[in-house]
Amino acid sequence: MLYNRIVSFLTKYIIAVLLPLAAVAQAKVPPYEFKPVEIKFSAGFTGLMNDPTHKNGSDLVYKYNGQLFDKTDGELPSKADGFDGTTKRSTPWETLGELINAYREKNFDKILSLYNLTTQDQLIALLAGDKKEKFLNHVSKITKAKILAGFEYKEGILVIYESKELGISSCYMLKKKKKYVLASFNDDGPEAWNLSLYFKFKPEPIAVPLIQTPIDSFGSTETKRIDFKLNKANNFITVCGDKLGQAVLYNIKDNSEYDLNPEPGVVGIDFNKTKSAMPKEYTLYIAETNYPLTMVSEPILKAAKGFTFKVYKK
Amino acid sequence: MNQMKLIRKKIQSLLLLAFLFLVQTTNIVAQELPHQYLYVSKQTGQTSNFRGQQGKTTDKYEEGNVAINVVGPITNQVTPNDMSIGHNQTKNWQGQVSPIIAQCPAPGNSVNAKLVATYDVVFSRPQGGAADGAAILSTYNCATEADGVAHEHSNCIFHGTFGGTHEIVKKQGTVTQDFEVFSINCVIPAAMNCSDGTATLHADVYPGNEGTVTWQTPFGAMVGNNIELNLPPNFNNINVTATYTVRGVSYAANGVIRPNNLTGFALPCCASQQKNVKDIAVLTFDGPCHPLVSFAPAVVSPPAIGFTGATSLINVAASANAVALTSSIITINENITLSATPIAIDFTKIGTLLKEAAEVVSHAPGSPCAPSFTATGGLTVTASKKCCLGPCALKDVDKIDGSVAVQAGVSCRFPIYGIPYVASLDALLEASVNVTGTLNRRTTCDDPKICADLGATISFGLGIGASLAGGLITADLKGVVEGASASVSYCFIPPPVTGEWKANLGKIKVVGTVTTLETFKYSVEYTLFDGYEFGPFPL
Repeated sequence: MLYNRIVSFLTKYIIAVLLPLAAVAQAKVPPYEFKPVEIKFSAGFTGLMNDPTHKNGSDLVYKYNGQLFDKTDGELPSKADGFDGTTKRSTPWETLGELINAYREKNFDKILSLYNLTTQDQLIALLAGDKKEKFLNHVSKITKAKILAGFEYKEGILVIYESKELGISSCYMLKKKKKYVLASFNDDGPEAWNLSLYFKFKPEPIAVPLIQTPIDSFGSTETKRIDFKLNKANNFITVCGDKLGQAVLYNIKDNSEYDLNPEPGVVGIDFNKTKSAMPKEYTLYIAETNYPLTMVSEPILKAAKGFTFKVYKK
Repeated sequence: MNQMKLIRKKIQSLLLLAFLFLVQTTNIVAQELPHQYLYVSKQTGQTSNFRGQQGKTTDKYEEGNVAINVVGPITNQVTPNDMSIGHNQTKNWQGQVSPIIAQCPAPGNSVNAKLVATYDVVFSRPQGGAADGAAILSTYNCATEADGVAHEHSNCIFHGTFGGTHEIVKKQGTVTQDFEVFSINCVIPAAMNCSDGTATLHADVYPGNEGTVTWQTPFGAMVGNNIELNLPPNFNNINVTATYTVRGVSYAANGVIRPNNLTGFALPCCASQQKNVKDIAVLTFDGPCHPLVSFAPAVVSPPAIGFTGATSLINVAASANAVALTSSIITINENITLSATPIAIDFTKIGTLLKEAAEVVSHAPGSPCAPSFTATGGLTVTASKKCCLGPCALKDVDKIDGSVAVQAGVSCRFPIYGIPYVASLDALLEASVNVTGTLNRRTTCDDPKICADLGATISFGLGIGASLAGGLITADLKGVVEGASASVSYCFIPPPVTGEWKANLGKIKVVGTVTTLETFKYSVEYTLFDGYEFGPFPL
């Protein structure tokens, strides 16, 4: 009996006291702590815009006053965390937290209220007709959102965040009367784009895959399958020549529709599919990345491994 | 001054050189006169001579004497033999220089000779003459000698009415006249040259610098050296005489025109046009005098269109001075076609390679690239014969005729990952290649191949999907391809047909704008790659 009373008491206590306390604790938006930060990555992957101002060798180096979040922090609270969707909007994260919450709730008026007046008019025009509903249906898919970074950029704050459902996004905020408001922004420079790409791919060092089915030679009218074992599933494999600036021969993502080997972590490629290779010795280079590559660059050649085979006349 | 001229003329007269000398005597101490030629014929004893004459009247101051010495095989004769003149005297001289035949060299050689005249003269001249080595004997005033007698210095022509100082001078010196004496010669070569029944009358003459050659032949007399004499057909030996004459001195030689025998007759292996056999025959004789050769037939012609085959073997006879030889030649009508065969070329490979190029651009091998392909026209190879020279050979030649038009296209859809706000974006690559060519080419004697570049154009277009996230992320992007080219070449002859394909693609960029959900709008421009070279690949 006493045992039942104790259990009943503890249950009531947990429900009445501890759970609300836990919810309050999780409802906090990440702290706003801007300081000098540096982001450095290889300039070799596809999609990067030319940015000579920030190029240092084969790297791009960006330095701002801002804030970077790692894998364990930067998550914005949701209603399940006890977040009621209202803040003082005194930090960019609070404003973003309100926006994500409004997305989830399909609260268009709330969304509009987070923008400055000029942008509100733009959004109303942009989302006229059934687009508004499509928009709300789309953005309401977000369950969890995580801030990746924020920087002082031009006259405001550039914020890059991601969600499992919608991927990477970026937005721009201005500080008005001690509050951060969202604003439209026309960016004609490469910085924000390149940073967004960086956070999309989070490039890891170039690796070398293993050739599972090595070949020495094959006939000029034969098609030869080569399987490459990746160090990490879902990465890209790149096969290229050695001419800088030239298109790579193959850039295939593991498990994509162009991967001829269904085994995870193994990419299959058919060589000489047109059966018209010029008889001679070929040396090609292979590299593994977690981002796409379409052009031969110095970092690739530096990290890639060469393999040689001969095509004989047949 | 006039006295100086007098002295000079006097000396020249004595030396038989009156017309050749213009230099002032007062400047001469030792002088050489222009070279002269003399000729002798050891065969006839004839010689040429060097003659001259001159007269002189002296004034009251002038007087002089000349002595002549001879060197070499010549002799001189002066009339009158006294070569001195006194004051106020008039004299006329005639002279001649002649070779001494006995002392002259053998025919075909020459020897040098000369006359040396030593003079000693006195004359008057205005004071202050040139420093010429003359000795001044005395002086006088020309105005005081007015005696009413007309002579060179009356009234003192040089100084005028009031006169001036003159001087009486004595001058000595030599004048030399050189000669070259030629012993002339005329030789007819033992074998005279004849070509196609025409002899060239030539004699080796000495010295040959002047004179004429006169020929005596059974067909009349002719003047000149290296002149042509038409010989009769089937002639035997013909005697001729050549006489070389220079300044009335002659030397004669006899010779014989001896016809040589025809020893060889050959024709080129083939001819593709009508030819005079005479123009293409290669003849050999056993000496340099080639008689007239007649040919039967005299003309060879290619077979006419419609003739069975394209070649005809013609036997030809060559006859000269009772010698007859035969040869043969193949005549060819190169316009007669022996066969015509369509050329089978698999142009579909062009489409296959275009598809591969498109797949490289999209980096998506195995992507569902949809190809299209058409090929029209055709090429035909016709065979004929050709006469090739150097070395002569009858060869099979081929001609390619016709035209082809190949169009291949491919359309590939592939993902672009370089947009931050979507996992990937669909891009549509549309590539096409047009290959056209018209050929009318023939193999040649030197080049038995026919290879040709066909005109090829290639284009790549890149479209990028603009609907992202259900139309909520706006992307106004396109692919820009900066230049593309292709080349297609084939070697048709000799078979089998082989081809090569190459293509070059310039830089491909993605340009446009992307706007995020939160109205962050980017101006985008990035490069997919700077270019790509496809091939060369065999076709």
